[in-house]
Amino acid sequence: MKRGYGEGEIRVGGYLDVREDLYSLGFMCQMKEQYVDEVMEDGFDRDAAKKVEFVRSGARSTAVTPKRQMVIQFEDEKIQKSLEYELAKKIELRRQRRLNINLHIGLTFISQMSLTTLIFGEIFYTNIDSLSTPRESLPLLMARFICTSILHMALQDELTSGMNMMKYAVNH
Amino acid sequence: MSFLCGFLQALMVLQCELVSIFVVLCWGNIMDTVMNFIALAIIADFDDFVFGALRCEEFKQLLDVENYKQILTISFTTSKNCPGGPNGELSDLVDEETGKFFPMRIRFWEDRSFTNKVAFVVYKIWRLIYVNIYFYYFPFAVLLLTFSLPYMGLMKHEDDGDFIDPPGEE
Repeated sequence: MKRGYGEGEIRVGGYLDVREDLYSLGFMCQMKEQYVDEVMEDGFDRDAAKKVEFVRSGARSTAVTPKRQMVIQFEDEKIQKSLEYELAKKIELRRQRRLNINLHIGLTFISQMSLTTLIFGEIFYTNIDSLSTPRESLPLLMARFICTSILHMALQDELTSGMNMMKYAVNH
Repeated sequence: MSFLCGFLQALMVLQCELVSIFVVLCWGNIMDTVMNFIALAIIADFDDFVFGALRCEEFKQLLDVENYKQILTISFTTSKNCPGGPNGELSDLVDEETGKFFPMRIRFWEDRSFTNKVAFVVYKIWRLIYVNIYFYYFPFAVLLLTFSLPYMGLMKHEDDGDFIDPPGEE
């Protein structure tokens, strides 16, 4: 794949950088179970699913005497039940954790949007005249510019992170 | 849902910055301007406060650099420089149904589902706003509005038949 002038480095093969914030946490929670299993250390038996499959397949209960076969089958059923229970418990726990994080995101977003909307409302309904009052002071103008520039620099990273997450979600 | 997380974050940031511009424009002295601006900037940090409050959350492990490097590998592109279709370059991910590698390039009409198309268009609109307006012009918007809003107010009064003395000519 060739890249032209001004098109930047090839991103395929690299990785997406995420920030340590609530929305990034919510984004990471939605990853496929198999990817989460690879990196999470939450006491989850990563091989449990494989063991269940192995026991289910009955691979152990071939080529032995009928009596031995019965014992193995009985043991297999016990193992299968305990493993399936363990697995189901962990999956349910993770599902609840995901739901909890999603709820946190929803509530945080609603509270942030509500507050900013209320402020907007107050500005336009009660302080609209102050917006159209001419200000001639140069220091005031400088203070305004500095304030917005600093906030812009502080929030730019967050917006970029959000957009990168959107792009990754759309392409993968 | 993962798309929504990014979308909500971007939306919240944009709204916070818009409101901060109007809050800064409201006040006529430096002290009030800075104080109210700081008070408003806190709203943008609400998500960080909530994140900090989730102390025992084990999913936080996923945000370690070493961990998310393994998960969030970029395998696809939308670049037109990458040949797409059945004879194009292949990614390193295998389709579980067919057992074949996915093509590296995602084409808009051929490879995306309807919801994915909608999400992609939403992303592109955001990108358009970000590149054309947000990135360079937002800090300067306050300077522009400082003069244009009073001018618009003046025009409105003139249309209504009121006459207002320009500042400094009382």
